[in-house]
Amino acid sequence: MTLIKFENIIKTYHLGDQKIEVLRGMSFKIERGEFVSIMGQSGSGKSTLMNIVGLLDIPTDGKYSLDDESVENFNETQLTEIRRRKIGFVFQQYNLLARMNTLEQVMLPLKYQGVPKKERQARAEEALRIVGLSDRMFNRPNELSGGQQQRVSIARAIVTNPEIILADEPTGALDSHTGKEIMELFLNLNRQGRTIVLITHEREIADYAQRIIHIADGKIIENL
Amino acid sequence: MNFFEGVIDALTTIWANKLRSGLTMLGIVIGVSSVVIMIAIGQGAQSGITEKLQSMGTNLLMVTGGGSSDMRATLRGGGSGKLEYSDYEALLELEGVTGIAPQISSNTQAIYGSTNTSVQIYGILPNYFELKDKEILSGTGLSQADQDERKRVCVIDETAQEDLFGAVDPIGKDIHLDGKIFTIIGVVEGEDGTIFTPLATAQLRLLGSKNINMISVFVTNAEDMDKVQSEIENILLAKHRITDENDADFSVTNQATMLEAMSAITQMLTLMLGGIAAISLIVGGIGVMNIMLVSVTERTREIGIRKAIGAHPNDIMIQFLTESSILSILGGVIGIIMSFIATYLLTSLIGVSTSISIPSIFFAFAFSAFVGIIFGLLPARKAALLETIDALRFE
Repeated sequence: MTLIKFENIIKTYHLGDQKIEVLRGMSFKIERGEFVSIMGQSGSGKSTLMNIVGLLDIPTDGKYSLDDESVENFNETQLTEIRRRKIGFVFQQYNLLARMNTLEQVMLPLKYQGVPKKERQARAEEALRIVGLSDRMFNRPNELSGGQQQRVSIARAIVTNPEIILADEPTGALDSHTGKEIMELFLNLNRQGRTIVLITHEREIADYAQRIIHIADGKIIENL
Repeated sequence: MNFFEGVIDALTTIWANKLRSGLTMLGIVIGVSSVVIMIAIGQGAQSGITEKLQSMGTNLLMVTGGGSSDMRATLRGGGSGKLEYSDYEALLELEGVTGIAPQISSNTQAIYGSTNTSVQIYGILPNYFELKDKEILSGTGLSQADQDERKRVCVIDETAQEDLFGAVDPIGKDIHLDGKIFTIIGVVEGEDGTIFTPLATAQLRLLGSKNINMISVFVTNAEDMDKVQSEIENILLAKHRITDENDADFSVTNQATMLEAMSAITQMLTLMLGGIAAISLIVGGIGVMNIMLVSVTERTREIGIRKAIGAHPNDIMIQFLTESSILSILGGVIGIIMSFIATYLLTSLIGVSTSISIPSIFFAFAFSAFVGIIFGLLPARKAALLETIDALRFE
């Protein structure tokens, strides 16, 4: 069953008078339950691609269907609603909130969904158990290692039970050993049936996926 | 996210930036407390004056020497000396009055033994205390015989008693007034430091003058005030043989009119003080806006993260509005507490009469909450409209 469907997606930015084509007609499909890597060098347009998939940005042209719904005509409220329910983000820089402890970080997305506090806490504890951080629930980000912080951000991404986990260079700031542990975690999540889209410039990391979409200069050059 | 949790979150953030939040609130604290204090001082002045005037009686017409247009009389010293005892006698034919009390007054030193204090001397008729509703606390009041025989007796008020005698019983004691010996026959209520002697005694022995300063006319019914006032004017104009009332060498003051005029003045004063203080409240509000704008910029990345994990722009807007409102409301509450402390200190230490008005508290509180919302709106909107990807990239 197709979850993500890009049909000839184009994205252009205007820098003053200059027009920059970042995505130049991109078409691909990602099925539910797949683990796909999108690989490309910096400047290839992969971050823009992820922002569009994650509904943080809208394409200039082309058709994007998420779960058989065309997203072009959605307003801010609808986009927020879909993002809330269907997408979990994992960023290279973890993007945790400095003032909150681990448990609060993971509970936050559920807060915005209006989940009652008790259920929020139970689900957050469960997500932290999955990423192996049950013993770090009351620590703040500055008391955690890079690998642990990335686990918190993965727990935060999966706590809402999203359709897709979007990971942008999740191992970029980690040493290779910790990076491997994080990738093992993604593999496990994928085995449990979650769709994972991984953005990376490293072949080694991309190889964890079942399929690699290789992009350069805003176009797909290889889709294995 | 419910309201209660939003408030808790906002309080956590405010607490995390204690110094900054405290300084921001200080603007509101000063604004609110100055509004409440200023209005309290204005109202205190108003009720003080009103009370004073009312204690003199509202159905009172005061006849004083010197016309309102008589500059020479004014220059000679407040127009005193133009009225005579015969003027009082002429007014006795007035109808609709409870009583008429002439008086002469001056200031002098009172000496008892080695104690020395400055007092005002009132030369009065025996009816004075009853008309003024002043109770004789000990001894007796002044009698007609005292007046007729120009006796050197006097009645002193509580303040004069305290200053001269302390705890000693003053009845029957002799004091020196202007070098002459007077015997104290009574103590009357009052706190002005006044010594009362018979009118005739004061005229002959203390002031050496046949004049009187003022005639108080107590009108029975408030509705007759204007009528009695014009009768007084007619009687005295005729007696003084003055045809044009603009040339009158006396003036009649209506206590009720005076009360109204004073109220209007103090009310204006209150509004003016409150208005000036309100400006500081607005300045405080601008302080809140300033800090919230800084806070939005500083927390751009946080806003981006919150939006990426599912916050709607409205959630962000509410978050920042809650913060600025709580800052202002907390500042308002502290300001109100401060104003209670400050007015208490003003009254007990400096003796400024103050009266905190409940509406001014509500006004100041509502205004500070309003300020928080209005001045929080712009920064909150700015936060809500941030593009998520830009906010996430923000370093």
